[in-house]
Amino acid sequence: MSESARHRLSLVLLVAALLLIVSAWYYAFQVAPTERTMGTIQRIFYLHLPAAFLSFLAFFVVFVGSLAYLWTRRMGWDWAAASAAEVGVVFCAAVLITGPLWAKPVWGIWWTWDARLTTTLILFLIYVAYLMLRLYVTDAERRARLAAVVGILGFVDVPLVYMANRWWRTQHPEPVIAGGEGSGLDPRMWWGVLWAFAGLLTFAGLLFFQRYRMEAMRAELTQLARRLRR
Amino acid sequence: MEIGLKHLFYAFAIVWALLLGYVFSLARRQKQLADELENLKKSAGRRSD
Amino acid sequence: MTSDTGRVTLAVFRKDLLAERRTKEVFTAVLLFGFTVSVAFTFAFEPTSAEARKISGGLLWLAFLFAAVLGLNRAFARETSNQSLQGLRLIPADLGGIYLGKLASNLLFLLLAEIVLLPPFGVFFDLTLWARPGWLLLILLLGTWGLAALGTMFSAVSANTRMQELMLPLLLLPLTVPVLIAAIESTVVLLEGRPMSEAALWLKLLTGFNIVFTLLCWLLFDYVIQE
Repeated sequence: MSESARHRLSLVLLVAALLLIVSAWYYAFQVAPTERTMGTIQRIFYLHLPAAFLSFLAFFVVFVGSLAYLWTRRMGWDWAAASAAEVGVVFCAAVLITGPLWAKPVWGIWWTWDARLTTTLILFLIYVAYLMLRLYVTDAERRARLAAVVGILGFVDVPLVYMANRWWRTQHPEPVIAGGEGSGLDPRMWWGVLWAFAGLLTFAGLLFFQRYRMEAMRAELTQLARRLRR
Repeated sequence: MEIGLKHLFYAFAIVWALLLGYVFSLARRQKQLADELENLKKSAGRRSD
Repeated sequence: MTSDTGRVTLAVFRKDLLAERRTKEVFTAVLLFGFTVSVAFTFAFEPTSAEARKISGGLLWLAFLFAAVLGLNRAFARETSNQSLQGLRLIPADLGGIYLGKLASNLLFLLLAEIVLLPPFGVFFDLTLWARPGWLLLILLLGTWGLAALGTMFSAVSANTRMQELMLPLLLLPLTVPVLIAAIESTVVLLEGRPMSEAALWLKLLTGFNIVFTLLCWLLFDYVIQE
């Protein structure tokens, strides 16, 4: 893709993202009805849930990219995995921040060790470790190889982490009902979530695209530097 | 019911600060790379003279 | 292909065994560190009987985990320090056998250290550990296998990075959360004298985890070791 085409695409994505997000916010705050039991705080949902979907999608991309890299040895897959991991971690952090901010006013405590939030925390740690691994390997080919292995192992681990946490929760139930997230939703709320997801997805796509370009640039840099040294 | 209005505000504020912070971090890193690339290309040009 | 793998596995296992019998570094490191951590826990947690039983299961496995990280780092450091990795790479056979061999030797050393660690731990927290020794050993085996499966893999991965000692625990801790939860819960069931059928789910989870990750790591090990 040419330089100008790339710039145009970025701009289009940015505008689309901003439009979607602003309209989603309007929807979330004006159009969507107020939840019966929790009230206004429930609107955090329009951030929390889409962010959770997005981070999980991003980590799935890391998984696919890792497999594809090991299979084809094309660096583009590695760049995709790296970009998806970073974007995923950012949105994962958003989930971990909005979770407690929702829990405190509603249930009185900052953290509930419910399976989903705990799995998100472990997920966050796994992919932060993935990013640190990438940081500490200098050779590009080795970095791609090792990261791909960790990317695969990490993703396969996720359902096991979730299962372990679910069963642990049933053994040690919290004195608090952790239901609430999806139970009995007004259809207008689902539209709100979908819209917010569309907006954040476009934004995430933009971030991914920019990060991918960075990897491509870095590779070009290394290649050029190597050629000059000869 | 107005419980947690403050928390709601903080949630949106922090998340957006996070996202924009990441955007700036990306922009800064990209600029660094672009500058390095420019420098290298210039010295490559000088080398061939 | 599998008989080849078997031969490589056995060869690596025997090599590690011989090296360890001479130096005993991994076993000693794991034992001493595990012991120190256990003592530290007695200062942090009041080891009075009723509560002790509930948290001692958790503390035991934390001690094992920290000690295992140390041991695994040492075990792989031995490979890199005497360049034996280069030699291993030249084997014209399935490199995955190296992983299985190292997994087996790591598992053995960790288990031995853990078994020796149990009596002092039981003394500190006033526990009756040996009421059902068969089950205890099974839990130890399954839990340690889980730690060693990913640990052996990640110690090889970490050896390729600039911050070896940091990368192993950073990778191992989040990914072995299912192992920790399952092992701790099973141990608590055992220590509280409850019927082991209550731990059945956890033991099944452990077994499943171990099979999945041993196979996966065996398949992926080539990618970590190759140059």
